[in-house]
Amino acid sequence: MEFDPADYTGKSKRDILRELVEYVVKTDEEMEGKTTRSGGQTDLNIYLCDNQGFEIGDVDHWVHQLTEDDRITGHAENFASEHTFAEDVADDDISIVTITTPAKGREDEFLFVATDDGDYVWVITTVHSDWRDKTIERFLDYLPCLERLYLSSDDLEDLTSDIRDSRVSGFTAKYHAPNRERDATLRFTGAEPGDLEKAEDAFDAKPTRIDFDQTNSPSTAIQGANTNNGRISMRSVRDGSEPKAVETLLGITEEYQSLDRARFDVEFSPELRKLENGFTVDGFTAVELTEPDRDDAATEELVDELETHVLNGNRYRHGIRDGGTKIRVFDTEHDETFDVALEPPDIVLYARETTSALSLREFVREVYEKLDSTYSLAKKQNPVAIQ
Amino acid sequence: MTSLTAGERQRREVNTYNLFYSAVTARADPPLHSRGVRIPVMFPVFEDRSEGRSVKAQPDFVLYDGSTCALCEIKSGHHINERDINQMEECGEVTIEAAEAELENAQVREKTEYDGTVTAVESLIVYQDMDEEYIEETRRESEDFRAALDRITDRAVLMTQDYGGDLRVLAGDFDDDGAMQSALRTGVTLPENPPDEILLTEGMEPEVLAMAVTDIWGEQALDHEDGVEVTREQVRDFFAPRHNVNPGDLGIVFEFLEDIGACDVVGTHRYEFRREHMGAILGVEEMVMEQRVEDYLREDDQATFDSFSGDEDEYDDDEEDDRRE
Repeated sequence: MEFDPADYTGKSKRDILRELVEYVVKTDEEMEGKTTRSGGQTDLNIYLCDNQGFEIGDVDHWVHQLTEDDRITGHAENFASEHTFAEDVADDDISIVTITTPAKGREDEFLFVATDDGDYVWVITTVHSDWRDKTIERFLDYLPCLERLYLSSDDLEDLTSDIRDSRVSGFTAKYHAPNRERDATLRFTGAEPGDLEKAEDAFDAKPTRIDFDQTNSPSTAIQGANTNNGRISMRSVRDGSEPKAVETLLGITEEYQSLDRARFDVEFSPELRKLENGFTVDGFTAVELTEPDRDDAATEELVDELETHVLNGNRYRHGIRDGGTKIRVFDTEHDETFDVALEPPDIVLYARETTSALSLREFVREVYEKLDSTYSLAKKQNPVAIQ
Repeated sequence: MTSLTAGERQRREVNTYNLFYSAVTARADPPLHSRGVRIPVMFPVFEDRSEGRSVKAQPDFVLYDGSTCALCEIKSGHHINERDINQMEECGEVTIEAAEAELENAQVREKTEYDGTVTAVESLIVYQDMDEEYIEETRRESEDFRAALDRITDRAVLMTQDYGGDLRVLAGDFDDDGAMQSALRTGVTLPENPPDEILLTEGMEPEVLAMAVTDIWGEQALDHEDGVEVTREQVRDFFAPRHNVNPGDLGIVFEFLEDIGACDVVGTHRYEFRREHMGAILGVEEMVMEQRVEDYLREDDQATFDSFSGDEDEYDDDEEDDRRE
């Protein structure tokens, strides 16, 4: 076993990251020899997850759920039966989860860290991307209590540009829209300043991953990447720059969480209450997807597109409302409903009493990935009866 | 104008309320909430029997910003009728003390930063289908309209609203000159497609009732592993006193909901909503927009009778026969 629980017991997040950064420390020679990135090596990866009911030590319980709960689809059940899972608890907030794939004779380890407030779980690993896909990413997909955070491209750019002493060194940008034939992915390495903006202007391509180089004067000392799907990674840290790398990771995780919260958290829930002398609806929360790369769309067209690309599949049930201008959506995985109001070409999600960030985030992700990558994202909220 | 179904007419009324509500939300521009305005209570009854008074005002919405309390009546049409004038007359009778008492009932002190003090009570009435042009033309052409306009603006500020357009003053003056009055005079641009926050109409006919019951109790089932039980009386109490739901209407609504698989009957006038009913619940609005609940039940009875007396459909009636003995 690579990770030893004893190494992490009682450690702060800072100390844990300090330990883990060691995995990607490079000598000066190694740093100089590596101006472009090759895929063979392993990075330090952190998956940032919204925690809705997961506790350290719970892995067994949730794996059991995957095999028992008849709401869970066959994919999850197969996944659970093709692997074995073990959790070594270091303390209340930290454990090491091992996913074994007997058919391939593999054991992959992941450090689970619950943040102090319990709102988030970080899953940290140095496992290669091929195996992350097959193990932890699927596991996180199937666990209803942990949901990877998500940022729009605009927020991803803000997150990356806020990293001190850093520049964009590469990116992956996607373009996808219902009214265009093209479904394009741009992968750009060796980026110069302004290249990302050029790609956005020329192709309306929206970044889903941004690589950055950070200097620790005078030279490049830290190379990392942020993706919009709740994963941040560090590829290399020059020997001696470890403290700066730890600060960078702490800064990115904090801002990532705060941007995700700003877009998806339902702080003002529209709770309908009976009062002694009437009714009240406490709060208001709307998530707006606006200004896509097309001027207009008929309401029926947009409903049709949502039904074909987003609402299809097992997760959602829906009903058409208000003469075809609204859709009531039931997210069966999270047991939440919300309304989708059409203001073509814009789409507005209205929270209902049961709605949380879980279903809003997932729907927005689906719209970006399956329908149209060019929307801008904003949340509007306010108290109506309270405060 | 194409004719509306009963459900569509009720939907239109519901939407009128929800459009007004949206003026306080962050999707309006500028939202009234940013000027400190809240909606502490909807569909209240303001009763004042002090010192020989006999006031019973029943506005649709109450706006409050810590000093002004506005009683708002919302109409979907453009016709100023006698009843509207009387309603605004009652609203105009509400004193500062009575307004403060109702804000206290609405738990304003517990729920907001406001202490519930009122310095001015305003009455306003919104006609969604009215605009400046209509007023000007009709005023020129109809003496009755001129008289009605004068009488209503003596009692209230006359406003209008539109989807993606403005909530704005058409005629009449506010009594006082506070922050809320100035915000309303400036006007608020409303969203094109406001949220469904309230599913209530004055009449609470079966169609909107079916939607409201499933919206409120049906969706509560998602938070309860074992489902949610509700009785006919609980539903009536919830909507009372402003909305006097007819027990007979409620009876046919639940019969309809049970028939389409949106709830189960678990006792006398006692119903249960569970998670697995959600599929049917999601279809309720589309059904009641197309057809009255009563007509659905009549056709359903007829279909049962037909298939019962005929012999071509052998199997699928068993279940229905049991239910409808």
